[in-house]
Amino acid sequence: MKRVLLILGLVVLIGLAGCVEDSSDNGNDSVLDGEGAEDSDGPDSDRDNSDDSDTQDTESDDSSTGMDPPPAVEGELELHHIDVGQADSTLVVTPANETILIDTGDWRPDGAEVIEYLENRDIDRIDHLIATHAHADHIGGHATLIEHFEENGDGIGDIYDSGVPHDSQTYENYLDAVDEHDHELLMVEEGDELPVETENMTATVLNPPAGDSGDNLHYNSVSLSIEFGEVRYLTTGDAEDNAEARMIDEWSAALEADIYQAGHHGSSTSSTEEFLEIVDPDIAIISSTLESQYGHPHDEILERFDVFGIETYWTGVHGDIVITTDGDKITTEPTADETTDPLALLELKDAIEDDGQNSYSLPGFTKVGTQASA
Amino acid sequence: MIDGKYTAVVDRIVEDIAVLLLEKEDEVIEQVEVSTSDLPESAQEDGGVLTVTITDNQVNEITYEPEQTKQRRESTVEKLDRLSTRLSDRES
Repeated sequence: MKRVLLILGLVVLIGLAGCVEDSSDNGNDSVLDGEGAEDSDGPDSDRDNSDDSDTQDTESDDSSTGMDPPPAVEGELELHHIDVGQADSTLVVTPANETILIDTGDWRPDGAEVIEYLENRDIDRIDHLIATHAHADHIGGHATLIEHFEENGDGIGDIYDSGVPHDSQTYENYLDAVDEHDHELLMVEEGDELPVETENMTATVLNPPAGDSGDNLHYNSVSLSIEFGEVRYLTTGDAEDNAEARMIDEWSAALEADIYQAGHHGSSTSSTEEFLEIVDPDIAIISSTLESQYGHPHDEILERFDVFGIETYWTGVHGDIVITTDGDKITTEPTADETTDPLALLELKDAIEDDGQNSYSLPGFTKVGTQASA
Repeated sequence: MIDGKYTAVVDRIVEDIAVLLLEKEDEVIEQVEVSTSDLPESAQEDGGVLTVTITDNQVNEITYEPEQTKQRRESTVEKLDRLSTRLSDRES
C-alpha cells in the first residue's frame, strides 16, 4: 500500500492556531505515487505560487514489479472538494471534461458558493447532478443551481437521486426546479453505473440498496465508487455504520479506494473500523466547517484515521481541496497548505474548541482558508 | 429572527441536536437548532411539520402538526413519483 511519511513540526500547529489563512506558503502539493514522480501543476490556476519545493513522494511501493507500467489511460481526473462550510459539495471533472456534481452545499448560501466555484473554472454545464440524500446541507443549492445552469448556462444533463423524499421546503423547491426544466429524476441503486461517456472511467453506485430499503435518508445515502485507471475514489454521503456494514457485506472488494470522502462529515456515526479496513484509503477528505456545531469531525474519527495512517484533509482547515490523478499518480492541492496529520488536526480542533465560546449559532458559512491564495 | 409563529420542518436530527427549517411563503427563511429532547416525541425524527413560536428571539413553543405532515408528505411523494424513473429502467 502506498504511504506518505509526514514530517510535522510544531511550527505547523502554531501557525494553524494563529492564522489558518496563511497565504504565503500554499504552493505545496502532495504527490502520492509508486515511483518518484514529477510534480505537476494542477488545475487550480488561481494560485499565484506554484513552488513545488515540498513535493512528497512515497517512501515505498508494494508492487512487486519494481517498475509501474506507464498509465494505461489518457488525461486527468479531478476531484474538487469545495469548501462549503458545514455541508457537502464535490465536483468531479473527468478526463473528457464531463462534469459530475455531488451535492450542492447548505440551503443558506443557496448554491451561490458552488456556482461561483464552477464559473471561476469556466464550467457552464453539469452533465451529472447527484443528490446523495435530501438533507438541506446536501441539496441546499440544487434548485438554484438547476435554474442557473438551465437559464444562464449550458444546462444540466442528468439528475440522480436516492429516491427518498423529505418534507422540507428545500426538497420541494428542488423537485419543482427539476419539474420546471423538464428533467426526470433518475433514482439510483446499488449496481447502477452512471452513464458517463469518458473512456476508462466508471462511476458505480454502491448504495442505496436494491429494492425496498425504507425511508431513512442516511441509510439510503447515495454512495459512489469512481475508478479511473488504477485509482479509486469512494464517497458515501452521510451513510452511517449500518449502511457501511451493508456495503461491506454486498460490495467488499469494490469498496477499496485510494481516496475516501469521510462519511457524514467525519462523524463517529460513520467510518467504522471495519469499513476503513475494507476501504483502506491513503487519503481522506472531511467536509465540515472548522467550528462545527456538531463537533465534526469527531475526535475518535481523527484518532482512527491516525491508526490507519491516513493523510487527512479537512475543508474547514484546508479550504477547497483539489485532487488530481492521471490514473496512477495522485496529486492533492489544498487551498491552504496545512498539516494532514490526523492527530495534529485533532490538536488544532481541541485548541479552537477551548478557545471559542461554542455557541449553537452558526459561524455563518465562514470559509476559512479559501482566500489563502488571493 | 422576528417574533411570531412559523411553520417549520425537522430537517435532520444530528445526535442530540435537531435542525429546524423555518418557512415563510414556500421558502426557508431561517434555521434554528434545538435539543432533540425539546421536540414533541412524535417529531423526534427527520421530516415532520411543526409550528414554532419565537418569542424574544428564542424558540418558545414547538407543536407537532400531524395533519399538515401527512398532507405535505402525500403531495411530495406524488410529485416525486411523477418526476422519477429508475436509472436502470430508463430508455437509452
